[in-house]
Amino acid sequence: MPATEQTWYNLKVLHVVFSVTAILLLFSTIAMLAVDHNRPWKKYQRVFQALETWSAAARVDEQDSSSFEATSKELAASLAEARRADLDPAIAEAFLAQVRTVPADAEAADRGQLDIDMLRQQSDPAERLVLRGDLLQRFGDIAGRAKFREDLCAGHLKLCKAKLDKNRADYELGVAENVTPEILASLLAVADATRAQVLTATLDTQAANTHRKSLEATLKKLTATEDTAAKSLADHRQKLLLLAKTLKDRAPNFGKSVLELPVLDAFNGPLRIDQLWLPQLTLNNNFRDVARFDRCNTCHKGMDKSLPGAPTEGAYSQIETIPIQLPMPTAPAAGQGGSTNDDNDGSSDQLEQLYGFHLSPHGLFRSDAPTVGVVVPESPAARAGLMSGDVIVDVGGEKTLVRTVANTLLLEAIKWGKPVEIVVQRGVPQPYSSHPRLDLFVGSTSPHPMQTFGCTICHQGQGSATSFMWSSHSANTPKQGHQWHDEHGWANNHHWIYPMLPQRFEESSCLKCHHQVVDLEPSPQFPEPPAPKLVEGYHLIRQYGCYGCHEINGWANPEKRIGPDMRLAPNYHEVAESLVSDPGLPALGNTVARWVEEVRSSPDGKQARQRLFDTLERDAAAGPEAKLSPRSHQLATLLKEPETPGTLLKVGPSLRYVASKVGFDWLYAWLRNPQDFRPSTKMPRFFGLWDHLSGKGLEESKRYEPIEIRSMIHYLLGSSQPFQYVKPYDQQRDGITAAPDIQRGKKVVQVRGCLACHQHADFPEAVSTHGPNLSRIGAKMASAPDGPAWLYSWLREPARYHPRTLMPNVLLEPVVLPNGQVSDPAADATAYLLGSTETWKPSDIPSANSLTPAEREATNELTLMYLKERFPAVRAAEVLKNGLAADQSAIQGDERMLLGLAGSNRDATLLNYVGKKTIAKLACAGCHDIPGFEDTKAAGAALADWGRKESSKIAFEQVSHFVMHQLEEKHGHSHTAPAPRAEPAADEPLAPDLAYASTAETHLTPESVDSDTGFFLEKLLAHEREGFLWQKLRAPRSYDYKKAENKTYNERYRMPQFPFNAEEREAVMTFVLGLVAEPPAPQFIHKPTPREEARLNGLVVAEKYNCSGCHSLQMDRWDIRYKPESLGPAQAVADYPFLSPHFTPLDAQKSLVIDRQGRRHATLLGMPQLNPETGKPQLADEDGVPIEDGDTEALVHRPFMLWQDTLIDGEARPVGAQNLLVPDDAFRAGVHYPARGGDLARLLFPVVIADEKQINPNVKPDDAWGWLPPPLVGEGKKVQSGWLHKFLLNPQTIRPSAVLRMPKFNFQSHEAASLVNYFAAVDGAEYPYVYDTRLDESSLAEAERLHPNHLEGALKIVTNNNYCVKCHQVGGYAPPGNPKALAPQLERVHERLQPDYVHGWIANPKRFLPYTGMPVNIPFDKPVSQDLYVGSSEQQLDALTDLLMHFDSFAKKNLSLEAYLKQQPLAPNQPSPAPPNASVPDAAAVSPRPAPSTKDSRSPGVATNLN
Amino acid sequence: MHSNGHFLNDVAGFLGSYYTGLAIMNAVAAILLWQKHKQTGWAIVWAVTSGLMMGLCALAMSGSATMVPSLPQGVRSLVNTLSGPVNYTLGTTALFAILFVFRKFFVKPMVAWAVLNILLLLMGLSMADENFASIVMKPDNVPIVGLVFLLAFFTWLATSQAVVNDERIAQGLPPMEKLNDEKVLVWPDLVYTELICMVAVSAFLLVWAIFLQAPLEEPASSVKTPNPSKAPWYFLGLQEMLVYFDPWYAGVTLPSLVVVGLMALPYLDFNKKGNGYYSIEERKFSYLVYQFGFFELWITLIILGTFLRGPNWNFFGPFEYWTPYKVEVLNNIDLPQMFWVNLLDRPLPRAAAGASTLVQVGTILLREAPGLVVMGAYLLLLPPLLAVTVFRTFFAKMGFIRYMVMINLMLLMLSLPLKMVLRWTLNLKYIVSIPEFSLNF
Repeated sequence: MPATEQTWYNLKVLHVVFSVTAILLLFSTIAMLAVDHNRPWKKYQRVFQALETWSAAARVDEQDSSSFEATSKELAASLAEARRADLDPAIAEAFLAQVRTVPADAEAADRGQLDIDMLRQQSDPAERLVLRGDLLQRFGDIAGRAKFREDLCAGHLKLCKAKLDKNRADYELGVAENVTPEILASLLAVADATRAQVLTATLDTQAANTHRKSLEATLKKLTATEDTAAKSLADHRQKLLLLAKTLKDRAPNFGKSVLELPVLDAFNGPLRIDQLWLPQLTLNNNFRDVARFDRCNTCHKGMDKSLPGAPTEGAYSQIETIPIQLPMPTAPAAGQGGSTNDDNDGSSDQLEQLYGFHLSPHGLFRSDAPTVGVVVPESPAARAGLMSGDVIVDVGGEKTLVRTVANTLLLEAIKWGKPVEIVVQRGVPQPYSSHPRLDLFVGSTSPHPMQTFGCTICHQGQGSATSFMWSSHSANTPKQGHQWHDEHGWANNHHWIYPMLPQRFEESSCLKCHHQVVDLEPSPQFPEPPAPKLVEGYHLIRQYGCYGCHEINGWANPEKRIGPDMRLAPNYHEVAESLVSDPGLPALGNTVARWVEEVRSSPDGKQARQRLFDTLERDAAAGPEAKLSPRSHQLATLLKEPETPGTLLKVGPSLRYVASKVGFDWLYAWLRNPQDFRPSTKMPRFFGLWDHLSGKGLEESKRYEPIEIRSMIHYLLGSSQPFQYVKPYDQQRDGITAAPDIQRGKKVVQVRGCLACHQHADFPEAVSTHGPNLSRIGAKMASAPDGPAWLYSWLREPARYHPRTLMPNVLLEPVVLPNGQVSDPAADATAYLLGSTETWKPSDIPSANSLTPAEREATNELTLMYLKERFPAVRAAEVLKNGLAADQSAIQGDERMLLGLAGSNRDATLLNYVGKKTIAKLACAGCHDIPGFEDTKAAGAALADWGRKESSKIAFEQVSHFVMHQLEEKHGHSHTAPAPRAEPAADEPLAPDLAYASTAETHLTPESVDSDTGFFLEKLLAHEREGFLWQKLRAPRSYDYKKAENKTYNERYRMPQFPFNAEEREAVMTFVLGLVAEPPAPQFIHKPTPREEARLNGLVVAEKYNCSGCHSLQMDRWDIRYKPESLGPAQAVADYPFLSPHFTPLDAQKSLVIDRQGRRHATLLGMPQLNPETGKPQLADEDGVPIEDGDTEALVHRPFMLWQDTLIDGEARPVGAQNLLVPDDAFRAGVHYPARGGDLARLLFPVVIADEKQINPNVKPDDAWGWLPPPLVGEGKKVQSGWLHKFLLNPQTIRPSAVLRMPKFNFQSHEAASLVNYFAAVDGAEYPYVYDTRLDESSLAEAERLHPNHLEGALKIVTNNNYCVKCHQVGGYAPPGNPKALAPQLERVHERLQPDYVHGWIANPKRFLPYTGMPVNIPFDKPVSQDLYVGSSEQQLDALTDLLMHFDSFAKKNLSLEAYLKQQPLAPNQPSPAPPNASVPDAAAVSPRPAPSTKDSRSPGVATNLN
Repeated sequence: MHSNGHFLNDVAGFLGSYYTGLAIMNAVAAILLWQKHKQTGWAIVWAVTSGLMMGLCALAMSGSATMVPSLPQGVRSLVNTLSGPVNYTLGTTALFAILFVFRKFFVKPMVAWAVLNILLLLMGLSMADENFASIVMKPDNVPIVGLVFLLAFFTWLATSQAVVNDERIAQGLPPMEKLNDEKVLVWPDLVYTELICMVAVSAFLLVWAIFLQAPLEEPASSVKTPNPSKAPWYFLGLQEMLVYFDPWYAGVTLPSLVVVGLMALPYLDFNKKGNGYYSIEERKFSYLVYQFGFFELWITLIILGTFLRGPNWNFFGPFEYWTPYKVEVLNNIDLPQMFWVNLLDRPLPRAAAGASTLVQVGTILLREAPGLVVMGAYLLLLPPLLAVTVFRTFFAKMGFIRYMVMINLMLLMLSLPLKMVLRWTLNLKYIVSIPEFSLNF
């Protein structure tokens, strides 16, 4: 008890304080719950729920439209109709007869009979319907009773069976208990009795069952039509019911609403965090890899939602603005007036009548936004492309913010007959929209389903976070960043080391799993480029040879692949080149020399290299007896094969023989600034990059750089090895009679394939950058005395200069001119190219031979600088003065060059030394083969994991100041007078973005420059790697800004400046930033199937050698959307059944589907027809008559030559039929995927036609394709793989009519194999070995047995002048006439083509090569002259195929020496005068009957091609 | 580094409410003074101050970045230039001395109120500096700012009571605490107030948790340490010692000694006065030693470590940008080096390779002889010397053991400032440095 009531504190005050704090606590608790209730993700989920409900309701409404009702009514009517129809009395009688079999039902049967009779007599339809119903009801009852009886029987049977079981068990128990036999017998008797009961009951049941079933079956027959009608009505309604159910599930209901209330929602409410658990795709948390949790779909709930029935189309597209033309009838229909009252329902109806859509009473994100609610399918609005959910923002140029305005404008401001132009905003904002390209990502049928891959493995970011900022979103522009900052309190969370990739770099992540990169190129499966920017970056890196200095090693160890692998191939070939110049080599003998040669030209072959290595080792071990130089011994180790060798070649030309090619002046100008000579060059710039320099640093550069250039040239020319030029064709020996001619040369350059890779100012239409631009090549060649000889040599035989060059040998042989003269095309081309200078000349070139005193001084300084790196300062000065004495010859390295300096030409020696040092410093050997640099290593930082490089380990130096300084200079004017800017309207969707367009900025900030620069500037200022890389690629040397003063000259940054534009730079960055060396678990790494792998490998080779420069590897693909029947009817053709297109009924059904806009879809694969004069795609009117460009009257169509059978309007359109006339709108409404390759063919198409026209004015344009590089589509199924491999390595002429030959590339054998496999893979052919029974002799014998004179007959067809030999060469026989009409040699078909192909080809060539001129010689329904071969068309076809495929053995077998001896002498240009070939042309030698004499009956210009 | 308008726009809202808070605080003070204490003069002063604060608030909220009240750039640069570990340590020592000597002045409520106002105003003005704000507003630094003010308040409270008591004792009156030594009730005086505190603190924590969320930083990595890598705030004083001592000493030995020393205090204390009431005059020695150890060697080092140590543990002025590229000269040398090389101009004694252990140990001892002598003098000579001079009375009262414990603890405590001074003046790294046994001092 307290001693006193008095307290220390005043109780009143305490109470007040307590109540205040308690209230505070209450409020803070409420605040806590409020904050929880308002967590951003909950808000998003609520909105998304509303969105889902809205769209479900819209779908229900759309479904529940008048047309749905119409169909419903129709179906209901047909149901009623079926009900009204008479019942088949016969079936009814049969039913009753069935009923009567059961006596108990006899009475019912009688009543049924009565009903039937009544029905028969009744004529009033209403009464009949009632009676009919009664009758069916009665029948149903009877069937029901039958069922009841059956059930009774079944019940009884069950009882009996149970009894039997018990009695049987009793008997067996009796046996077990050894009861007396009497009892046993009685037990058995009881059981037997029960068994009899069971038997009876079973029979009863079965009878009842049979009866019931037959009754039911008959009844069903009776009501069959009715049932079907009822079912289709139910099916029709089912769709709507399903949608309605979805709506019901999604719509808010009381229970859900209660659970979502504040406070309650903290406890297991329906809004909850969604997460994907990805235990295999771990996250590296430094100490351990932990499972990834991605909660992104907590807010991004629409991510994987697709439209119903279209799993690859997102349900909620990203916001975009789309203009739409709503068609308008020419006059108001009856009952439609200009009523404009604001009554919603009334105007809704009007809208529907007028356009076919409603406006929804509630907008999606803004309640009164004019949102399209329902679009009636196939209404004008649907055809125009309007979709439910579109927000109309503009009608006829007037803004429509609210529904009423839109309504009024749509109904009032219309002109009859004139379409209404409206603009809609489609899609939903983030985070509600669906992922783009659900066919590739996120979708359940895509290669990257969301449940397996989650989000952050690709996008990065903090997957566990549920708030905008902490999930580490990355802004794509500074403006976006600030907008986010304002809206979401976003700031860059630099603590999370995997921030989300900004949109511009989102493709980077693909590299984690797609190590080959080319697998990200468009493919037949995914024609839309999956990662265009990344792939572009990859190709740029390959083209510019970044890997020469910056190794990208894709292998952590030989077993573990971590990323793309881009490394230089081992230097075997350079070692061999170096050995060639070793004076000791001849002493080792011819065999070794041959090995060296083999390694030089085919370095990938192992055997010669291994032997050479052994030889070198042995020679080195010989000590003083060694025959080769120590340098050669040193290089021997380079011949050893590393575990995972690189694969890429150096991108620059070889400089090993450079002195044979160019001279000092050109080299000087070139090195000083390559773009001066060739603006489009890929060679980076090393010198004159002085923007960042000032003061002493600038002075040093100006002083030393000229010396460095000179010294490099000195070294290059000095160390250049002797070169053997190709001798021109000899006048006497080769009969050249025409002098080189520039005009002819120009033609050679144009048509002989140069333009497939090179550009030239004379041919602006050639744009390939695979090879250098030749516009000024003459100026280059003029700089060396032997330049012209070199150029000639190079054109004739590039491999002689550089065995691994990508430049192929285009096989320029002497040609006979129309005037009978013989010219050397190589000489002509040389003459032409030497004249191509664009008047460029090297300027400001110092003297090649003498140094001024200042230059000498600078040379000395540079030398000293290098010497100081090697020797102590005093010694270095001494060496500079006197050189190395002879007794110091033990010194290794470049300094050996200074041995005996005192006694030699001092300037030359020093320049040579500085030159070699400079070349090493600038890493020229990363791109070029330079003597003395065979063993240099990559000079730059390895990039294999650069994308994760710690930014604290990157030296940003003072570069941000440099960039700011530069930008401020550039933007200097904008500060003083900011451009006036229109105030953005409040409703402008981009208003928040525009708000950041700076005007008030007083100085330069990331927001005040354009968004790309701003992005990188921000990154640079924040010292993030993207910023570093950006500036490194823009101005690599600028990192020396204000640093050069603190460095020696040689310590400066050395990276040259590459001529990238901003877009290319970003592409390269996308690639480099993707190099993270963090491959996920092996099952996620992209592993192509063997076939796909073959395709990819082939693509790499094709890309390397630019196969697609000439050939189409993939045809144009048009995914068209056409109005039904607008492509004309299919033509019926009688063709061999085995050639008919294969389509399943399902395919045909699909092609009949009409989309919302009333169009059908089809995929066309082939070539658009080109205008023979311009080479541009041909436009034609609806009759196929070509129209001019300016013609606006005609309905434009595009003729299209199919290369793959397709389905139009459910009917097959086969290849080889007439060109399709595709309406232009069908083309424009669809998607176009351009062809891969074939540029040269398209380029030359008009050219060869024009050329031919001079000789033959009636030339058919399609024939021209036969003279050009053929498309290689279907090549895999066409040719034999063995032949193709050989052909690629050593091409032969196939088509005499072709204007250019397949050149001879310097393929390695495995590269040719890759191409062969590629063709087999893309065409789904068997490879590498194919077995075809037709090639077997036994099958031939069988054929011969069935049809004597099988092959002889075929030969008669071949040699008949109306058939093959009309155009084809056969052996030595060449049909006379225009050589442009000559078709390939038939005697070699057997080694080139696949039997199946030949078979099909003869049957109908156009099915395989739509443009071919070869006719169908043996029509399906009409075998050719039976006097040649007696038999059906198919037999004749088989015979011809067999003959062609066994031509050599057949010819050999039939060869008679006499015939051979009688044979005339062969033509001089006959390539192979082998006896069997020779025997063929003279049919008399092999044929029992002499063939009719050949007479030239064929029309000129018909060319047939088999290749 | 890149101060821009966006930062000022962001901070304007905070500053507005901050100045409003200051205005309200002063207005309340003015009203209380006017109504309750009838000090109209002071009331007017604080009312005016309140008005000024409202003015600052208006400026901060004006919406224009240039109007936000801030310290002139020149002042900021000057502060940055002047600040450094030496000035900071000496400055705080001087401040400590001034506050102590003029404590009678500073404990006056109006003076303290003025000082508080000035401090808060300076803080507000400094917040307009991006670099200052980015450090102070870091979520884990915010409580430290609060702690600084709390500590100042409680120190002021205790000191003002002590000053009052000292005056009373001087006048022969009993201390204040003796006046009210009646017993109080558990309910409501104890339990009710505890309940109120509990409720208030809960509310406060909730609000704090809502508005200032725990920072989420990057996952720890063995290959990448954050720069600067800092200990928890309460250990930052220890971390600062690492600058001057071997980790073993600064990280293990000294902290243990601090604990041991604190435990030993009751047994060392022989002064019977000052029990149960605040007094400074009666326990000057204890007060000074403790406050020096606590404020100077603990609190100020925590503040230094928290706010002024940046990347690479370099010292940064309060308005300086924390650039990781700042480099400082680190050419400290050991005492043996100074003695043998610099003074005697001969190499350090080094045992021949393969010499016996004994020889090696001997050589090390020889090498470290100067340091050992200094150490010996400090720890062995100084205590008796002090016992007969300065601490004669202490020695007499405490007896040998208690004295030795006390004096050694004190010397070890003083070794920190001494070492700091040596470092600054002589660039001395270690006095004794035997890396062979990880023994450095």
